[in-house]
Amino acid sequence: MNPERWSQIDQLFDATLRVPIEEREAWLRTACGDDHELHAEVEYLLSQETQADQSGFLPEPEAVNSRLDVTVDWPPSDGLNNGNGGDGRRNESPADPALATVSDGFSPKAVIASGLGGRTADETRSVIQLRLRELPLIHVLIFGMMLFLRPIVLGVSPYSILTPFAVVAAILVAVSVLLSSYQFSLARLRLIELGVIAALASLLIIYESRALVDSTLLQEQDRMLVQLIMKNVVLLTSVLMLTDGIYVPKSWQRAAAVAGSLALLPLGTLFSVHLRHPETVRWVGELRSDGRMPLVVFGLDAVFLFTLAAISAFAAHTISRLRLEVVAARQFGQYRLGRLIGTGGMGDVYLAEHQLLKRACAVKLIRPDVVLRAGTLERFEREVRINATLSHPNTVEIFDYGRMEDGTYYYVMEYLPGMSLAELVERHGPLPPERAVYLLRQVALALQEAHEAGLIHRDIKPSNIFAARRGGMDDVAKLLDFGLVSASAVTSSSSRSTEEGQILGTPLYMSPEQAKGSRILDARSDIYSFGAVAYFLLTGRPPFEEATAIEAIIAHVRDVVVPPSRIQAGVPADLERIVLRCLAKTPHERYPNAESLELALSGCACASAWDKHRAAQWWRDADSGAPREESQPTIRA
Amino acid sequence: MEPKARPELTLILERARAGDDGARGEVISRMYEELRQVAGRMMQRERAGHTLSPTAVVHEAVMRMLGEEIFDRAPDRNFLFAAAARAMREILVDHARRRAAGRRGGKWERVPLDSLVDYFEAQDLDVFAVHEALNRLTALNERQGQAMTLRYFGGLTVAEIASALGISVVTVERDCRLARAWLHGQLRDGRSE
Repeated sequence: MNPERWSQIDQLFDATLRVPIEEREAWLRTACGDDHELHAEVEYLLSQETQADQSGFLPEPEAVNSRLDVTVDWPPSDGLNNGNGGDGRRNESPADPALATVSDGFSPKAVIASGLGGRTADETRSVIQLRLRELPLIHVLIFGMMLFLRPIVLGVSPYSILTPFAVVAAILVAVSVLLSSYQFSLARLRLIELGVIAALASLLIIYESRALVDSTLLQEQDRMLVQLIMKNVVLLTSVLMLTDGIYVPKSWQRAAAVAGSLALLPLGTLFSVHLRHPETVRWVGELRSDGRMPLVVFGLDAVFLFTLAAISAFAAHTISRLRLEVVAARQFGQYRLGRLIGTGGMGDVYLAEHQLLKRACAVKLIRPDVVLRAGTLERFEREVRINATLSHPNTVEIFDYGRMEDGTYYYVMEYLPGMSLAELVERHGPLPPERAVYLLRQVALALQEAHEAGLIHRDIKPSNIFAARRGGMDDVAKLLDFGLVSASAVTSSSSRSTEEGQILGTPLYMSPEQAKGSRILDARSDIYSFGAVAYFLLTGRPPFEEATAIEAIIAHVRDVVVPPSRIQAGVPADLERIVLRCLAKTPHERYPNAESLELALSGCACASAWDKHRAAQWWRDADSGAPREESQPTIRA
Repeated sequence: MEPKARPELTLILERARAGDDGARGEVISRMYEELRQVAGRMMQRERAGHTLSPTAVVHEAVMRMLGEEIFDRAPDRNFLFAAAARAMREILVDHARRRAAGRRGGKWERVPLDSLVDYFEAQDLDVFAVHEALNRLTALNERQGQAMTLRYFGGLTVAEIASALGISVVTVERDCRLARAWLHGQLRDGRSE
């Protein structure tokens, strides 16, 4: 086979596939003419294709869904690829506007792909792992005593010594497995737990049945010894029952099932020995010299054990309820956590209330495992500090920041009812030009302050800007997340906070110089992203809607922007000029700073057409779920 | 500063594209180094059990090598992507070998690249056999070999392959279809020529 021949085969193969299936054979024969070898080759490949389909040969590698509106460290690491990964939408339910409010905005750092999953479930899992490490050790201690006392009490028989040692060894293996850093799934941990309990219980069964079988040969005095052993078994069973129920978190049903079957153990063993060797345990039913029947004593023991089982189940129930309450009522400094309102790359965002001021705020918790990763904490602290230096009303306000004893970092910011611009456009379509200008001017003012302080945002995008309802005002724009900000003064090579050679930002809203990986960005890079957001608000789509991140990035550098008015009719010419100037490829063609941009926006003919009254009207309509009718005010109490 | 395309790299690429085997080898070996560095760095960063995306590795390596030039020099970009895929394949084959050896030796720590090897092993395919078959395919039609390599060893989607190689999506799909049938013949049917 040579390349020329192969290309012939290639073309025929492709052409044949275009022919309807029932005509293929005849078609191929005609096409090949006398060249039987060619015919055979193509036919062979066709048959191989069918077989490959049938056997699922080389299936599509896992689909990679690129979400380009997610902030990434370029190149896209898992966060981007993992569609539902880091963007925090997982907990969002459209029916709950307050939930939607913060979910997207606070969590754009898909960089650190989040292993989502219920917080408490995760916590329970690690608590179980921790406890299961300790529990067997406690048992080994208790049972170990028995191990050494037994030969003294009953005399030595070699193999009965080996069994407990084997069980102890098995338990120690389980402990060492649990000590490793490997994280077991909840189901696995439950299995290990049952295994440990079952091993110990079977040890008890062996003891008891051996003692019973031996007892036929014994005198009455020695029978008392057997009864003592039975008492011992009852005692150890109750220890097993209570430690398991109380120590390892579980539901009461589970605790009842485990403890209940443990309670059956002493009597059950007696019963099974009775079934197999009735003669050996006949004495149990006979009256002792003191006039009592051993069976009755055992029956009392059983009642005792069942009572304990009930207590164990009740304790498990109480403890699991308390654990839930503790999680719910966790105090972060002066803040009391409420419900979860968002989940993001670095941690969860909770609605919270200041204990004394009773002020609603949002608390972002940074998961301890995230903080452990080098550099994350630095980044987090920088984000907080930079945010705290900004005081413009259109920048999100940071109230507090701290660290709990368990290593959880948190910071507290103002709670923003409303929705992000991304959600706004997603739900209600492109904004009318006057409203876009109204919001954008506020963002420009927030940027102006930041830029004058030497801060470049670097990640301006619709989900980072909120249309909030604050201070009795509606459509208050709030700029969030200065997580990627780097003070322009420190952008030199000395800064190690962003890794060398990486592009940071959001592919769809990234400026050309960002896309080129330039580390020396100035305010005009933000102006570009600002322009991209404006474009999105007016048209409902970003300036370049490419399928892959690399294409989007290349488009920002290379391609000419389609004017917004060609996509959405009614975009005024003066506003369009401003947007396109922001989106100029070279920085010096854009507005030199946010101030001049704001000035230009205020000069738009439509600038005064939207005001706080119309904003209030819009939100009232949105709240009542009524279709938005500009001309027809709805009347509400 | 962002990594600039080294001037001599541009020259080497030019010669490589003109068909100079020595220059091709040079590009491959540089790409090999670059991929190793990128993958190593990413693995450290992604220590916490995330899978390493081969797409990300390939993209970052190409971007680091070309720097700003990536936007202006489409032919170089296509060539480098193909080279990256080729080098990525070498790395994976190498990795699969060491993994097999490591398993026998009992010392084996799972690393993110394993997910790619797993893909082939789940199908009961020997990575090395796939590698050799793709070499044969590349000899028959270079573009088809590159497309398959990017698809299965680089983790790129069809759209990404099209933009990386500068060909249309339809062509990529067509190439992959034929190549898959052919590979089935080579690997499953035991036919190899």
